[in-house]
Amino acid sequence: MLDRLAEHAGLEFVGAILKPGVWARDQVVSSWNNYLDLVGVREENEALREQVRTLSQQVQVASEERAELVRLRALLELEPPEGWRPLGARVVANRLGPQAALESAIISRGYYSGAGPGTPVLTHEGVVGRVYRAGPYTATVLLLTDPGSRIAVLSAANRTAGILVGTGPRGLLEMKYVPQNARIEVGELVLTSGLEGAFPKGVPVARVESVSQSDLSLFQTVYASPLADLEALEEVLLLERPPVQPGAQTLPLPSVNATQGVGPGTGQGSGQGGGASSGQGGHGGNGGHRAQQAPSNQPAPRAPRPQAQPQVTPQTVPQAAPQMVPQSAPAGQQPGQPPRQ
Amino acid sequence: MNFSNLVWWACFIVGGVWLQQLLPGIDLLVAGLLVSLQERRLYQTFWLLLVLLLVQEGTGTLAFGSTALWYGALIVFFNVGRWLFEAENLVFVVLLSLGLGACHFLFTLMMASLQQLDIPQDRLFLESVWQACVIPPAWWLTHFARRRCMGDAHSV
Repeated sequence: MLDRLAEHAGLEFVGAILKPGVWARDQVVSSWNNYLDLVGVREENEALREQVRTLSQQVQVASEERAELVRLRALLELEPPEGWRPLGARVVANRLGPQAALESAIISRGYYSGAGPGTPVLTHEGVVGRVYRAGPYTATVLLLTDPGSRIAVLSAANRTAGILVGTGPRGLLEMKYVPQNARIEVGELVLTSGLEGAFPKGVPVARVESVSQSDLSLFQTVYASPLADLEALEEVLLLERPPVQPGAQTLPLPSVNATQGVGPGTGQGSGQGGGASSGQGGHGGNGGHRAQQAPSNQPAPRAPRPQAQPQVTPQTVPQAAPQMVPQSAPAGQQPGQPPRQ
Repeated sequence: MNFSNLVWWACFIVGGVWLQQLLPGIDLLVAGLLVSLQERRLYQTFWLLLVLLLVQEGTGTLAFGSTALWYGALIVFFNVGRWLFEAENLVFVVLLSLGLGACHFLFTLMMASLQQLDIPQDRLFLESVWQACVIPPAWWLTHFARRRCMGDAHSV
């Protein structure tokens, strides 16, 4: 009886005393554990967030590298004309500084690393321009949209010759000196003609956008858009000139000194303006009016100042028959120059 | 020129060249030259002028000379204007920047025509306007940063 009383009263009393304490303890412990868990979750959450951030950055970098890989692969797949040595370069900046009056870009190669004045610059899409000024390891490229740019070209299908002239920033290119009776069509590809040796033959430059005839002019008005995206240049390919073979039939090209370039109209063939270092730099020139003239050494004033002596003096005679593929080197010509350090 | 001053100017030039990438055709480094002129430190100004000339002319596509002319105009305007204004007066800097903007247009056009280069005049005009607009804030930022980093000790 006493045992039962003790069980029912004493035990219940103790239980009644202890239970709230235990409940409180459990609550405190549980809260503490929850708090600790929360702290862990928060820390884990932070760690996971950091991981996500890092992975996102890595994905971004990887996608950027992938895009770069695609571009570089495209550049590598571009087969350079025989004898011309391809060199990759990065575009460091576009027009930089108050004196960058011309359409230009700065690249990561200079004359010590293959980018002498006059070196053709292209991407896998087409011609970009030519090296205008060169330092030891950095060079400025004159883009083909500059009004002073002159490139001797041929239309791909009809083989109509002309001079491709820039019209300014973000503008179309004008193909000048196309005779009224010459055939040229909208959508036709325009290639370098290779005359004067400034560019290898057959490199795509632009696509014809419009053709119109005027009663007041002897020539058609032809506009073309550049194939290369000049607003988004990142990597470019330089084509180092092939070495001239001793004994090869040569024509005297206009010589260029360090202070004055060769003006328009001194080139050969279809009147390509400019010499080796100023082929597309014959600013404001009228090179095409002297079409089919033999080249002369007469320096003309309308030319940008080249930075240094270009590497070409004599040049092999260009092939008479036009061709789409890059011009092959003369017999016995070595495939390329040894790499310069 | 002490070492910290040298480091400050080196950082200024590096930062300025990077910023110039964002604003083609604009000279941001001229603000540093203006600040140096205001500090009346001939030796510092001489070396800074030399470095800036090489940087701007080297990256340009015109023959050497137009930046030299332009910086020359800045020095002339500054010295003439100091007779009338406080050198660090904002009105003075604004007037100076207007003059420099006009000179930028004239000198570039003149040098381009002397070299018989075709340059788009509308773009040159816009860039000259931008140049005039950019100089006062660039000067203020440079002036402020120089005071913060170097204190007033650099002022003479």
